[in-house]
Amino acid sequence: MSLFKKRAHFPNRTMEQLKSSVIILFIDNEDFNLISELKEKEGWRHLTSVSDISSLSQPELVDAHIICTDIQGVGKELGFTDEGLGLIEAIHSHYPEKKIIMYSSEAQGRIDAFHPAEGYVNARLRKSANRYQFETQIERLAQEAFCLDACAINIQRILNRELGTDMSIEEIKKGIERLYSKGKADSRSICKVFGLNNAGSLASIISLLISL
Amino acid sequence: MIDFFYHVIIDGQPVLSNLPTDLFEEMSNCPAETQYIMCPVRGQIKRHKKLPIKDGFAYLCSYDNQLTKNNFKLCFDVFLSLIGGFAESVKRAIQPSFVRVNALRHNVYDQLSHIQDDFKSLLSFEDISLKDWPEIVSFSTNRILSNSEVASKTILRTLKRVAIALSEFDAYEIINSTRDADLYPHLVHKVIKLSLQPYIFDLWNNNVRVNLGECYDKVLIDYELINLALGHFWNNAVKYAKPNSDINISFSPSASIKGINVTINMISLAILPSEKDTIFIKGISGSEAKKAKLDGHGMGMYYIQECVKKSGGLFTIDIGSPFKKSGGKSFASNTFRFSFLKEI
Repeated sequence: MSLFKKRAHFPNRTMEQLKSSVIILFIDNEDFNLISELKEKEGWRHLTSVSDISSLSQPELVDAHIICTDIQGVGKELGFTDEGLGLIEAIHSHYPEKKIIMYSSEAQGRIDAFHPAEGYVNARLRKSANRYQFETQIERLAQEAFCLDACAINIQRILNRELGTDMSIEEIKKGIERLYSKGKADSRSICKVFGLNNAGSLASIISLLISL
Repeated sequence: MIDFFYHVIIDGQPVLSNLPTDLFEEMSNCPAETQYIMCPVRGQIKRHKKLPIKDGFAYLCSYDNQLTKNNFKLCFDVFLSLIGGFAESVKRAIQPSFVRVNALRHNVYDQLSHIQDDFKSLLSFEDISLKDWPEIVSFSTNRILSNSEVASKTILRTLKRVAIALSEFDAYEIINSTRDADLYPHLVHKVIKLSLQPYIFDLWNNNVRVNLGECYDKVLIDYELINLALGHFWNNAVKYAKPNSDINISFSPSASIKGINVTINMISLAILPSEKDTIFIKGISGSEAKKAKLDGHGMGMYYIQECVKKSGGLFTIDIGSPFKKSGGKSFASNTFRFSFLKEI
């Protein structure tokens, strides 16, 4: 019997499954009741919160798939003068695959439209946003990270934007299925499957997708 | 290039200045005619002149030793000729934002005052005596428990007022922003239900029943924009729907855009045919609303249409014929329709 048994098709992950598996981290220096509501009332089981990040290898940060961070009052422990925006930039640079939701009391969280962190966040919310708004953004990003269809749409956007490559959703899904069946998500395999010279950010995205 | 220092005051405010503060006293002592003097502050020869203008004065100064008296005079004339236009531009730029900030301040302050007033009827700091300080929580609990109905109503009203206050900020920021709409799929039924909830208590108070139909479709909307539009819509419904009546909300496919219609039918203050378009103009309220002294700042319908348009949808009204007079007010069966793009 072969030890390298081929994996079945990519699983169709339901929202209930995502709620049981996706790890969400809130970074906020103030009490935020919404965090417990998302856990207790909406059923996101792996939801933790910290008041700040003291190290980029902090276990809560390393494990998280989706990071929701305030942009005021955090990032201080790592000495970022631009607080949460500096923290977002650092998190993105270390963990480009992690999804980031930034929130603040300011309009759309657009404190500084010219700060590089602006380009690294996947969603922006007001701190006064209701539970439904946080929930829908978390659901969207969880699907984008761990569901084949939503991930393929995201990859199509990235291929087009970063590499100028036009590929259909079906082609991308087939490529992911091939990688999944072989259990591979390294840059070389990705380049081979998608016919690319450079995998860019695709490696971290596909690696995250098949990691769950 | 000749370097100049300038300072222009209009209505007591500096509108244009690059004058260092250490030269302010020199400027104050400067006469109307051009002076060619040794500057006691910098120890250099300078030319300067200060002239009264409408509601203020203009001052120009240069330490350039190549600058002749005639050239300085010429430069001062050019400087003066530009001030009028510049001051007008500053006024134009400042005035609308000042008016908008003032309106925002007024509206938010109004909501906060009502919240404070509501809570004071339940528990006010003045009621808490020194002896109750050590037991402040149990004192407050007793007050709330002995007035539980008032407390419930206060909480419901406060939730609505907080929603309105926040939406005032949203309106201020969103309406004036040039950002693109963030279109994402949302369950239309849930969006309508969530937007309606803060206003249910007020509708209940007026004995207005809301019948919300079923729909499981998703629409492609910018949630913030549409929530803001719906908030203004329900706020108007609370004011204008006839007491002891029904609001019926139904969902159907839209023929005008590939999407979903949310049709809201209610008996509300009559809208004249001539007002069908004008009520969407900023600052215009319906004549029946004015007659009933229920009009606000005439922003509700404007915000609704702007937000829906920005989100790629449509908002239309089918006005009904006035058919009833109740308490001197003229009502009609009006139909309001939001059309949203459907998720493909």
